[in-house]
Amino acid sequence: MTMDRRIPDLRLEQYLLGELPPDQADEIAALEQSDPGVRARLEALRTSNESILRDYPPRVIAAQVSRREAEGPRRRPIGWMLPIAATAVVAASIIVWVARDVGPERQGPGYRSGPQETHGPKMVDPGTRLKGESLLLLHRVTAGDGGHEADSTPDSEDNPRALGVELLSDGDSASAGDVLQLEYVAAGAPYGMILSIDGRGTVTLHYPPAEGGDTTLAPGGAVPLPRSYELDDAPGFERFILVTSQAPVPVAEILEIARILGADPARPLPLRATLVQKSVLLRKPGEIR
Amino acid sequence: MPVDVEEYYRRYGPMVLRRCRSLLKREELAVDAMQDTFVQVLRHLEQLEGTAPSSLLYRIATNVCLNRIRTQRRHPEDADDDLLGRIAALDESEPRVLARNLIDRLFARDPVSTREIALLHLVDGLTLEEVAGEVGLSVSGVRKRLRPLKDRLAGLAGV
Repeated sequence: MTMDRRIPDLRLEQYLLGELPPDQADEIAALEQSDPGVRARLEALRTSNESILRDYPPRVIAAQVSRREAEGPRRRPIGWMLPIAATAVVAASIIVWVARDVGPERQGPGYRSGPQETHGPKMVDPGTRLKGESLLLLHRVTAGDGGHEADSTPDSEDNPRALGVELLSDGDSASAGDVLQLEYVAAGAPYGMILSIDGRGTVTLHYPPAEGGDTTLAPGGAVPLPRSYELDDAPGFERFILVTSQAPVPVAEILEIARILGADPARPLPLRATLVQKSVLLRKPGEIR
Repeated sequence: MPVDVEEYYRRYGPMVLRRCRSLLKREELAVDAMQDTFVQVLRHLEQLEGTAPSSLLYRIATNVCLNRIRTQRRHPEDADDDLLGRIAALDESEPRVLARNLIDRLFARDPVSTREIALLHLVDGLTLEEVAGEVGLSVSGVRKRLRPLKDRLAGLAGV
């Protein structure tokens, strides 16, 4: 019969840390030998220790803690973030649903093809979106020329029917060679950045154009980035992340975190709570090594 | 007293994150609360006496998380009546003299908050004796602090 239910988690933690009084430590050491339940809990803690330090490396966390401590008291309690984040998910879902519902019209009058379509989600009027939520929108250019970080400044007068556009949503499939146009809706967030992480762990900064660039977001409706982006053959996934903030975004810090911790597409980046992140994951063929 | 934050996190970070995960349930919130816990430690270094700090860190993490839960509950969309949420809200009805910053109180070795006692006993499952040992009160003292909570937490399983 197991006795481990009588041992609080904290006691086991302290046992592993070597911070229990000798008599209590001896008691748990004996139980570890005799009680499978205690042994399993301790083993789970040891495994968890390794996992946490691997997922959240000490160097990164220490830098974030020190930076946060230097910044002083929090400007905004995280509790305010939660309903906002939840509503944003709903808002994004609504937009995707609307976009997909009008799918058959994408090539019709309501969704004219042409390069200019990559510069604004004509199928979803930004003015009708739920106000107050920042959004990241990915459009796949379904015909025409692309090119990695291709210049997508308007040339519609020269080739007005060259391109079609498909709004992608989280979990959609994509392939090497797909050309994507990224847009953001600041919705009141004054600052932001956009990055992507692929299955090889490569991190690409999309906005601002360079690490030292201005992270000010343009207000109003959907704002396209000036350059489109062509997916390469990195396997598994490409994950796009919009990070918004009420203060200038620490681009270099976030890129560093992404490079170290971004390999798991299911895990949000461990950012401070004043930074709000929205993620869109595209699934790609191939196994992640 | 200089402190190696990285080394401190390496030693205590996993324990703190597990505690935050168990209370907040969501990974990003837990990671944020974990970092705030270490920030609190940095801001109160002078009160650390060089003794084994796991118990203190555990309690700081607990209170950081309870504050988060209480903040969430101020919004109608999060007003579910779970035991943890009710416990997190307890200090709002405590006397004003007890309402100052709980973290400061922890470092100052002030009397433990009622909600922390309630959490240890009702959520973590510690016996009255274990709670008493953890927070530095007598068993009768713990029992006395829990007794008035029965009405406020009435209707919830195990209370």
